[in-house]
Amino acid sequence: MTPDAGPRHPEGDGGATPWLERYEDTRGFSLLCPTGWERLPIPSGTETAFVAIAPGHGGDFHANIVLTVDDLPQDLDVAEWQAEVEPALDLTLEEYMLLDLERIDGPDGSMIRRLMHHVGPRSQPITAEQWARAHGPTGYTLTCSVATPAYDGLADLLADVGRSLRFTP
Amino acid sequence: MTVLFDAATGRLRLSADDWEALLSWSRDHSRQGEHLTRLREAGVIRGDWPHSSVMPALEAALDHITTLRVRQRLHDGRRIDGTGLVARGAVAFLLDAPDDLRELLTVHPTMLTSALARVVALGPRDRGEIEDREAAADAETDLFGSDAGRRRAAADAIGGLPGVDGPWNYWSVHAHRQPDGLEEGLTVLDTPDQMWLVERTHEKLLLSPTDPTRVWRLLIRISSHAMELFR
Repeated sequence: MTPDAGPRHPEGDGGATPWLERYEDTRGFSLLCPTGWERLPIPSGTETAFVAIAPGHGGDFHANIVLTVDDLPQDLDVAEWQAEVEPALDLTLEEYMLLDLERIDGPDGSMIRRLMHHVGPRSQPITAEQWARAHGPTGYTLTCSVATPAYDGLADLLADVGRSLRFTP
Repeated sequence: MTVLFDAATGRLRLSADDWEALLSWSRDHSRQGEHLTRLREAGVIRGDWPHSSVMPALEAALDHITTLRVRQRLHDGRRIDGTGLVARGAVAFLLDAPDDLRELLTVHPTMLTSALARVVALGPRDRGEIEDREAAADAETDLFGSDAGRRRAAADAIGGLPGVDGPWNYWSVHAHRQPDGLEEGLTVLDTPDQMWLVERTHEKLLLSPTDPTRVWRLLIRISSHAMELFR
């Protein structure tokens, strides 16, 4: 990971220590990841492209960042793609609750941001924030999951992570 | 009044008086006449014990350390209020139900934030407003009343308020902690077009545009004390 010139810890040490570092992947994407979060190895043959886990936030649930990639049908709009994803989330996540959904249009294209709540494998309340973008025929979904009591304290940081996904030509 | 109880699911609907009788009986097993008879007939009380599915709620109500007040006023004049009694092991919610009954819900303290979000139907809303609106404090009655004409006039007087024609839900959640007397809460005007945070002072009413994510964060802050109790 390389230090990024972008977002820094809002209450940090005057900017000497980056709070976020940019991770550059050889597959043509990069994203910001909080300093000190452990990047986990990616199992081959999966849709997962990136996983990082926090060092102990949120009790028995560690906050984490997961980037997944999907092949998208040609000409499928990001909003249409995400409309198809919504029922799957409802089916697969226990006590799923959609809290917020917005389309964010920017110079690099549109993305769908989703805030949701669900119950984790050990009955923990989990808040997850998700940013979905299309790049060519590939859909990228960046998901940050946090134990709900810890979400308020991490939300601004995770918003910086969510907006940080870049693609190299 | 009727007591509606489903022993399989623990779903219980009862009147405010029957709830008070059940609480009183749980404290000292004092007799409460017709109330107690109804509760026994419905299966809420069996012998000398409350049904096991209502035990956590009763324990929370008898030993609560935070009281939550939920108030909801809908554009058509309906009111749906509720009280949450937060203890270490459970939260007992009493919510207004049809026929002057109250529904008793038991929630684990760690699920308090999501329970509050479900009660006020938090979910995606349009956004886009960036300007605050300010009104005189006494405009509240007209602005959030069920008379559409007066509501529109009050909204026009402050430069318009998207969503004021309805449907909307003007709701608040306030927590009172018994140990330290701390009060905290939030008030929201929730419309499909825009959510607004509402702050009241003696003189004025300030409406600030907000969104469901911000409201979720505020609900986490309000319920954090309950969640910490369980750790």
